[in-house]
This record gives sequence, structure tokens and C-alpha cells, in this order.
Amino acid sequence: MFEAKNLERREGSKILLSSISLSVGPGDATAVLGPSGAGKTLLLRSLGFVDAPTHGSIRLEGSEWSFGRGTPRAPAPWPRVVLMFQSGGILGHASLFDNIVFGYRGKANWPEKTETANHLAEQLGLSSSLNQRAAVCSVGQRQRASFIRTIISDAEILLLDEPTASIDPAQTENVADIIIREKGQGRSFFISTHMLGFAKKVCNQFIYLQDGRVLESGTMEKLESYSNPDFRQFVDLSSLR
Amino acid sequence: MLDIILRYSPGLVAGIRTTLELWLIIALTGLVIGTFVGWDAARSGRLGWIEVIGRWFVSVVPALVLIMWIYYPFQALLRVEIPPFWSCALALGILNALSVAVAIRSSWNSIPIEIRLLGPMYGATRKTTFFLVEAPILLQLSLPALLTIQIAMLHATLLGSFIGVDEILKVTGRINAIEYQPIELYTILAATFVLLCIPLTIVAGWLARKYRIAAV
Repeated sequence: MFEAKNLERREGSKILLSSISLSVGPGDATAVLGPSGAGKTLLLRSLGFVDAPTHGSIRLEGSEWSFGRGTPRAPAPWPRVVLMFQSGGILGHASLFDNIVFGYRGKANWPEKTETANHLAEQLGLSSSLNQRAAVCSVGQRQRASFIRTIISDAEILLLDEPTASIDPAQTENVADIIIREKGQGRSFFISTHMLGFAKKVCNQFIYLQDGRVLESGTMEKLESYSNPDFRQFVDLSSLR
Repeated sequence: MLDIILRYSPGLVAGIRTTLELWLIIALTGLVIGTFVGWDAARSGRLGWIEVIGRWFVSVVPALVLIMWIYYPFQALLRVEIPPFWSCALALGILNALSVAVAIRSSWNSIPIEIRLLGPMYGATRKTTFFLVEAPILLQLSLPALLTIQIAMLHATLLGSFIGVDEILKVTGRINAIEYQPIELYTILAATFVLLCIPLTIVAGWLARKYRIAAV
């Protein structure tokens, strides 16, 4: 179980995340929905221990990380929790293959990880460009490489920030299939996305953020039943995509 | 002009050799010590105080003042005798190391956090993180500044003439005192520096292109 309680992030007097509590169990996937600037990326970065919240706590299987003034910073639980960044995080000078598997160089699980990486690359149409330098690859190719790197990690909690933003519909379907398969193996996901269809396919619960606050949350089955006007407008507009 | 070059070639060659030896010592010590201090200051903060002092020191103390200070009061205080060549090497070596440390730390701080966290987040070994992630990006970011500093240090070796280092400016001045052909002699001096700096500029350009877009 991965649980966050009262996460808050302030910059001076501005509240960027306000008292956010959420949890995800094995095999769960939570869609983090909301308009641009709502705080989705910041929430995922906080859950991924990339940006420390100014207040609150995160609990993972009995271990707890507390945040706040004067609280000693404990080491982040990487690679049990990993974040796929919305942009960046790809080494332009290295090949896509190296970007995917660099974490396992010199380790015993290298053969197994490279095999999985090759298999996923084939599934996502990336096999022919694996040896290309990332700097000369398209945004979509780099995003698929970043996705594969996240999937082949040993993480129990996978945070995906707009994982399909630059991927075509066919590959988006493949990404969804891979996430569903990984969920079946007990891995948990937080996925920020603007694509409601994709979220409905892979996620079983959602939170809707606006101005750093959770406006609505619940199960994906009941998504259509919420009446908050801002949320309804978001759902209606997202359904047009 | 060719006549002067041929007539004074042993002296000119000796002057160029002294300039290059001085510069090589300054460049090597500065790059090695400065990179170590800058890297440690950026990573662990233990040597951050050196980099902070360096940032201040480099911006307020002129190189010539430091050379003079090491050549006169420093030796008098310690009651030691340091030859002009080594006094100049020490002063410029210190300035170079501090400048390199400042450049390395600034470059490290400008690496996006998404890149800096890749190694620890995906459990890569320290060796992989250094050679595949950190070093290439740090090289790309710091290279223009490092090469500019080294070219500035090459120029600063001329200041050694003020304390009697027999580098190329001193030799040129001495020949001019005999021949009084300032246009020819100082044109030769300028051409020498152009020839010394061109390879550095070419290498800098090549490396900058090689490591362009290190992080995307």
C-alpha cells in the first residue's frame, strides 16, 4: 500500500498543492486528472520524491517519510518508486537503448532486463531506432523509451506523467495494454493524463485536481456521475478528444 | 620580419617554450584541482566554502596583484625563495583552479534535476551514473567556460614578464630593445598567440558540437 497524507506544497504565500491525501493498493491505477496548471505534475513529482512537499507524509509498506520544516530528509525509496518525467530525463548523447537499460549495467539482472527492454521496444514499434542517439530521435520515440525504462524498473509504484502525450493512437493502445498487464502483476500506477479514454481503459480510480486541490475523487465507473460543474466541463471536453 | 625571426629564433623559441610550459602547468593543476573542488562542492558541499571564496577572490583580486604578492611579500613572510617561473605558476594555478571550480559547480547546478536523479532513481551504479550520465553532460555544459578560462590563462602568462619570467613577451621586449622594430616584433608576438589559440578554439568547437543536446 502506498499512501500520501495531507501533502502540501507552498511557494511563499502561494499554495501549489493543498492537503492532498490519496492511496493506491497493489494492482491499482489512479488517474490524476485536471486542467493544465492544476498541479498534476507537481503532485507526481512529490509522490516520486523529486520535489519535497512542504508538509505531509508518504507511507510505503510500513515505512514513512514525513515532510515539513525541521524534518530530517530520509533517503527516497527509489527504485521502489519511480517517476516517468513528462519531458526531459532522456540523455541526448546516449542511444535510446542505453537510456532504457543504463540502470542495470554491471548488474546480474542485465540479460533479463535487456531482453524485456527489447521485447517492449518491439511491442511499441521502437526496435529499429533503439541504437539511435536520443538527440536525433523524435519526441514520441523518446517518450516511448522513457516509458519502457519505467516499466522495466523494479518499482512497485510507477508514476507516469502524461505518458502518451506525444504518442500516436495505435501506440497509445499498446501502452495501455502494457500498463494493464503490469497491473495484473500487482504493480501500482499514478497516471496523469488529459486523455480520458486512455484513463478509463487503464485506471480503476481517479482524482481530479484544480488549483492544487482535489475537487473530485472516486472510482472510474462512477466518473460520469459527479456533478461539480468544472469537473463536468473537463469530462465533456476530454470526451471530445 | 622573416629576417628577425631567423636571427632571433633560438630566443623566440625559448620564449614560446617557457610560455607553453608555464601554461601547461597552470592548465593541468588548475583543471585537476579545480574540477575536484568544483565537483565535490556541487555533490557533497564539503568543499563548497573553497568555491565560495574562489568566486569572490577571482572577481576582486587582479592576477598581476596575486603574482606580485606571491613573488614579494609571500616569499618574505615565509623566508623562502621561489623562482619567478614558479611564483607565476603558483599564482595563476590558484586563480585557474578557483575559476575552474566555479565553472564546474555552476555547470552542475544547471543540469536539470530530471537528469541528476536518473542514476539514483533507476538504481544505476556510481560508475555508470558518472560515465554515462554525469560526466558527458557536465563536460558539455562546462566545456565552453573551461576553454575560455584556459585561453585567458594562456594570455595571463604574459604577466610573468613583470617578475622576470623569460616568457615570449619578455623575450620580445628584449629583442626590441636591441633592434627597435616594434611593429614587426609585436606582430610576431600577436601571430604566435593566434597560432597557439586557434587549435584550442577548434577543439572547443568540435567538442561543443560532439556533445550538443546532451540532455533532451
